[in-house]
Amino acid sequence: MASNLDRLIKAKIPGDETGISIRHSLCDICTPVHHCGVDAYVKDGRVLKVEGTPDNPYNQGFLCTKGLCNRQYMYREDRLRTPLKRVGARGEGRFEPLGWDQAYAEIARGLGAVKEKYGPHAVAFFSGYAKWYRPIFQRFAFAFGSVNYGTDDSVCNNSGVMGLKCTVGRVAKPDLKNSRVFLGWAFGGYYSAHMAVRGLRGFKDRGGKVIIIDPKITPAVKHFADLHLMIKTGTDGALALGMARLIIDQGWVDRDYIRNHTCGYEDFTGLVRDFDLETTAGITGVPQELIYEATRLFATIKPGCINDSSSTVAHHANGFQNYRAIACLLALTGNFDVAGGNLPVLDTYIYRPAGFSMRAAHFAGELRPDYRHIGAGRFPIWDELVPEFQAVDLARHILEEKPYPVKALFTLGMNVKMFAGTDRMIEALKSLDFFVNTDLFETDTNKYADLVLPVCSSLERVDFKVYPGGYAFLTKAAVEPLYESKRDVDILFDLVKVLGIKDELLEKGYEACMDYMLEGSGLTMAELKKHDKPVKAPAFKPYVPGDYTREGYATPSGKFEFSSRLIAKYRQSHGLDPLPAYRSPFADEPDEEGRRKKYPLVLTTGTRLPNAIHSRLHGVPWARSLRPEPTADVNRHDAAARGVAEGDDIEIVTDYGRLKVKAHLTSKVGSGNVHFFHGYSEANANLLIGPHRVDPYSGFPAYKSNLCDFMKS
Amino acid sequence: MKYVIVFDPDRCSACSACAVACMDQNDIDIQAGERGYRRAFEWESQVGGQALCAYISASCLHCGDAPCIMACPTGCLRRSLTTGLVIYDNSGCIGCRSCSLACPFGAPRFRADGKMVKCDGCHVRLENGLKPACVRACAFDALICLTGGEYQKMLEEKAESSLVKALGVWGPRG
Amino acid sequence: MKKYAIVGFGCAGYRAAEAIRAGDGRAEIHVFSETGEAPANPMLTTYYVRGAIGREGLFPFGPLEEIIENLGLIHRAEAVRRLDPAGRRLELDSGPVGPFDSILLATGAESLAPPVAGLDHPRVIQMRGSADADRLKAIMGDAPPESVLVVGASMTGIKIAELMHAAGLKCTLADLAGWIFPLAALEPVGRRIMGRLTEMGLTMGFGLALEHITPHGKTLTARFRGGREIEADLLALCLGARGRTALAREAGLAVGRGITVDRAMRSSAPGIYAAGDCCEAPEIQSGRPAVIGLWANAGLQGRVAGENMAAGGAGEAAPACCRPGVLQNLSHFFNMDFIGLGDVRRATGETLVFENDDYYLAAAGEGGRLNCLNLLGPPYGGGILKSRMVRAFSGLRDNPSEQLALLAQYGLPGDFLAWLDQA
Repeated sequence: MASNLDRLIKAKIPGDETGISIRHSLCDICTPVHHCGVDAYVKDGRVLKVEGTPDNPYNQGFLCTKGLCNRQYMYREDRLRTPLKRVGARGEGRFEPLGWDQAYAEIARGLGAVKEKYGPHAVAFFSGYAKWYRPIFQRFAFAFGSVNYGTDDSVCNNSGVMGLKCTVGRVAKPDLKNSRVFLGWAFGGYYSAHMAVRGLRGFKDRGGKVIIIDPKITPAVKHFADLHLMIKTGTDGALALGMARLIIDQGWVDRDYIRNHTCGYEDFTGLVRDFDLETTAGITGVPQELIYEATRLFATIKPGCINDSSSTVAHHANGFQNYRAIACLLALTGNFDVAGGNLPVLDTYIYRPAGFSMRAAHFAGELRPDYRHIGAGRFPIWDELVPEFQAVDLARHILEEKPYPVKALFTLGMNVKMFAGTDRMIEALKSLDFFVNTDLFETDTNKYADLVLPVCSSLERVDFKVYPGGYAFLTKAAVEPLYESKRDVDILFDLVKVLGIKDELLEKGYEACMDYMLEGSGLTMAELKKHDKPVKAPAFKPYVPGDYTREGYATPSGKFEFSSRLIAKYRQSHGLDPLPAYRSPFADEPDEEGRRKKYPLVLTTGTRLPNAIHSRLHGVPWARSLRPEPTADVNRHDAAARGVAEGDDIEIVTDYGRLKVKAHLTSKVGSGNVHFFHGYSEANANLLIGPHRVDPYSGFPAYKSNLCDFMKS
Repeated sequence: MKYVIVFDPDRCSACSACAVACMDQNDIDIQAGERGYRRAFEWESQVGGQALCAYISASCLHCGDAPCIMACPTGCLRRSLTTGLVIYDNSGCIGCRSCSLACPFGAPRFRADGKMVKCDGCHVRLENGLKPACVRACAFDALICLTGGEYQKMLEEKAESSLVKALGVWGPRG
Repeated sequence: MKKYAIVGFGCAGYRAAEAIRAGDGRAEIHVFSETGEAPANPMLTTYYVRGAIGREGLFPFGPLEEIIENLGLIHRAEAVRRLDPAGRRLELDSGPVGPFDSILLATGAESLAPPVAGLDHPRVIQMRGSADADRLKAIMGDAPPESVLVVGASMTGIKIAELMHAAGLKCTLADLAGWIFPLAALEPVGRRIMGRLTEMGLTMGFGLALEHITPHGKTLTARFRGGREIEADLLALCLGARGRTALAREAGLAVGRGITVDRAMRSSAPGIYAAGDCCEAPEIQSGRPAVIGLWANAGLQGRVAGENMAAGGAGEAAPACCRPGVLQNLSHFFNMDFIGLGDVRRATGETLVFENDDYYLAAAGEGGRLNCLNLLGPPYGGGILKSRMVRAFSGLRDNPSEQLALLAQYGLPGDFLAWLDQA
């Protein structure tokens, strides 16, 4: 029999007796919109187990499937242990370890050579999915002298943000707590936003009505939906315009709001004329009665709010306008900036609104050189609204060297598999003079880098974070950085010295930079260090619904613009439509009808799985065991028509490429759809999507809609 | 104190947070061929031409009259006096599979060394005032841990999970 | 104060004592056991010989002294010679005891031995109790034989064959039946198992009836009907076991293959109960009494008997009842798991074979309703399928579809699940 102490240790019971302590940290496996508080069980400098922090103001003790993988994520076998220098050919994956000082010296030499020969803008700085260091990285790039700073925001949630900015000047989030009807446009929740599900459960328990618009049957549909509109992929704009016409025709419009706070209404009513119920049902595949009932519920129960889904709705060649069309429903029904409607928010720090201001954007952007950045002019709305380069143009720019050469890349956690047409990005990487990447793990991208630097996970570092409700949190490392890895920001501060970058703040280091950004919040680093859990910022001020409307919207007209004045500037030059006009998600394809015949199905990549986020967890055995092989979800009837059975090997074919994966047969995916998750090294979804398939407004790739077919392999 | 781990399929999404929490708690080595004691999964069936989907999280149900305890020829399995859960000491396990054939849920698994392993309800955590790892991880309250009294009260208000009810393993014994 | 007697102290006897004590804290519980040992599990003997468990492991409920102490028993290591059902008395060599309020017969089973010459040779072994195990362990210890003939492919037979094969002995497995596990295995599965055993180097001798055994120096010659002879250094006779019913039969109780009892474990005589391997209780598939010699059954039956005895027994309106069992065979041997569920003789309807990388299944039944199932492969799923069959035999048809989901999780063939889903 084991002793009682052995039992306690085996069960990982914290306490003096077992020597197991709990350290409060956060999870940054997924987006900063979450970054849930983590309790790490630590013994002898090693994490034994994780749980959510019970009194964290955001996640209230709960982690999702991915967050629960933190221990195996940080101890992944392929963690990089030392800086590495490439010794084989690019792509071969042969490296030798080297010391940090040597690595820094190589970086100084490599970046210096390109800067000297081609100028500072020939060095591009880019960040992959990680976000926690971004203001510092952006300032670093600009201080280096290059205008070329870009991030995965080029393909993440910015399209939606830009859509709302063009329309009403700010992003607006549903105020579910005070709402009575929720239009869950592309609301999935369970596999991407566990806390939102808790919110919706409360809403439902209070008697709220839930409408879900989703091409799939999801747990949210099963558990919450009073109405489910199983829409055809990428036709959201048509549905929104059809609903808009119904609202107008039925007299459900909030006339006061339209009169006082909007412009372009007349043009908009003209636009929606084409979307009678029959036409709308025809395009979207949603039965007329269901469209009517959903519209009636949403427009007549006040207040109501709409889910803000940054990627699902926006990642189509027509996504930006679809997003705007949906936003117009808020104005029509008077649900913008009212309690229980959608409330405007401003980011406090790194994509997270917390109800107080920080100087992060100013800190990040104040040194930006005035120069033509990568992709400038190709996507003018992007240029107007985002102080970064649109990275979908990066490969083209490097390969064509137009309008000027970019010869070096300094990237933090770059993932080539993020880029539609990954093969082209790889070609671009191979052509560079110098390429440095950082990561936690061995990755496909690293193989093309001259130098790879090891960084650490969130549990191994000090990190600053804000949470809604006015909270700020300076974490402490639960354990020391593993092996020789460092915090990304520490690498940047080291390089400031090595590269001789002249910037007073960056030269002073992390705390000085953070204190600069914190000014006005009522918090300082010295104060934050005293706490090991989130604290309330003195400057926190709860938002009062209507404030933004009273002060006037941040649009050229100061009003909600059904017809965007910003977009109107590019009507002639770029053929952009200031109204949220609908066009088919495949209208950009030459010979759409012919293509549809050849490829009768629609491929949607990136549909969330509970056990994956991009490529980050594919190498974590616990996560991977839940879906061991790259598997496409296909409709049973489509599979039967192709003689495909459960677990069969199939080949997905698009106009751009083909990919061998496993088939999972389901009725949850509508007939005509194929869903496949991305980020697998052995089955990279972005080899099926051409780099040309982008939304002309945002530059975003059409990840969610590509014509395809599949067959037994 | 007696405890019951209750599963509510109407709140489950088979997200497997429970399963991963179980793996983290029990140091499950996937690469060595092990699998977690709790698993979550989706199930679709066609009833009358209509697709029905279920989301399920399953592990040992710690049956009131646990057939595995009776079936174990070496006496490895027993009911915990402190928590009422079905626990085990597999040092005497001969890997005979009797418990596996007795279990209507297929909960007992056999490790590479032939020894039986299964969910022990995190009874040591319960003894120390902590919830079972899977319950602690479920953000949707699909898994909850109740005391015997709370469970009886719940039964008066709400029907039991169809799976448990259909198999009738939750008796008033013990 | 009530007085109870338990005759025989194996699994059933122990569980009965436990239940009586739980129901009646003050009762006098008299236990009579020939062996004077703690309750032992005969199934464990081969594991003990192999060294998988120590000798104490043969006694899963712990040492006898502890049991006596914990349950407050009056234990006598003495054989019972006669049962007087009307007087509820027992007769020992040392004299009569009783009367008792009720008596439980839990006399267990004994090895079947055919009436053939040569069984008393020291190199002919039978396996039932711990003494047999000790003997075999001694034989394997000092001068290990080179070959073994196992007569009877029973549970014990195959475990002995496995043990001997692992020890490097040339091994022949002989049985009267046409294929292995004739009561549990459908023919294709039985033959498949035999094929696998042959591949591993064992010799199969099925359809052979033993006539006699003759020693020649250090070897034994077994002669079978028809003239076939097999030589081996060691002969293990494993024809299975038969309930020990002599006491009951002589006392005039109804006895079939075992002492006949109802679901409350009551025999034909008031106040006399029987439980475990010595009794035959209703079997659910046929509805007729059958001996289902399983450790778990013995435990459940003993417990039910004990509960009813403590509750006053015979006159109770609603006695505790055993859920009727189903015939089963569970054999974990030679890195194989064979599970047989249901009665092969009742394998009506179509017999279908399903197969994938992990599993080989043969199912007999109609429209997804199983009446006999064989499973070769990982053991996972056996319990689920068994519970499904028991439910079906009980007339319950609303099988939860989640069960199929669980089976799918264990990787059972999809076409088998689709077949089951018809029910």
